[in-house]
Amino acid sequence: MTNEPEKKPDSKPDDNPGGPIVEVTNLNTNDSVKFHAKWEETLQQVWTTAYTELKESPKPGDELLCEGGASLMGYLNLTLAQLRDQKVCQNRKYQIRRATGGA
Amino acid sequence: MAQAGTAPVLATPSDAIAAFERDLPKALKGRTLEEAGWRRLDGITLLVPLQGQQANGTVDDYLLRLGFACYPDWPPSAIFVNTQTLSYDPAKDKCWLPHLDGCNEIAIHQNYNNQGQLVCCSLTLEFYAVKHGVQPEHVWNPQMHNFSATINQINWALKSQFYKGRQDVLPLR
Repeated sequence: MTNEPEKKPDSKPDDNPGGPIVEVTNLNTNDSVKFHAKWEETLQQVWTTAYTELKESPKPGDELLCEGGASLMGYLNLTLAQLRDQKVCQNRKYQIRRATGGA
Repeated sequence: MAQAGTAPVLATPSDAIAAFERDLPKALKGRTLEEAGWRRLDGITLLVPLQGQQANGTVDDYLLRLGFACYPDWPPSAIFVNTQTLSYDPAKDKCWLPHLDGCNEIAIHQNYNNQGQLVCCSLTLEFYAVKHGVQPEHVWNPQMHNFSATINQINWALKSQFYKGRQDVLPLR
């Protein structure tokens, strides 16, 4: 099933002394930012930081995805450490998808 | 600038090509056209292979043809084409269309109101050409979108739970 976030064995639990590096891509433009986060930050906090780094504002209907397309909306309250331990989106490459009209 | 209920306006060819070439590196993300598997048919036409992935793991190959005649004030034209002819005939090419079921953001119509194929999404030119209704916040904005948005949204749908395979079976070869 493709809508399950990627779960792969992780390598090192503390792989960067400055905190884990996350990468977030705005799917409207393919602009990406990389920054250090903290293991104790929640995914929601990382998402909020990413908007600032991308010079974007959140809008209703925005969705956070793992690279590959799996939704992370059910994990926003988990910390990066918890996501690491649960092996969710282990490469920490996230995407912001904005809702469209259609159908 | 794109707006609902208004017919798209052609860009000058030089402006369209310049905007396309400006945004192409972002779409490619460091890859060459060859590395991405994309093909530029002419100055304003791009072929992008995409894959649909069904819940059972089955993978289906598609070819999306993007046209930039009205770009960047309007989104690119986006239609799925027959991989042999590189065009789309509503009478014969239904098998080259993905089937999306139950998504309220995007759908793919074989022949929308007898106007041809419609990738019904506010990030495609055809959506505005048929004067489809749209919420203001969803209207294409060249300050906030480039054609990566079109590819990314269609690609997302093809990997989502809404993807249900081809609209028709492929003919035997």
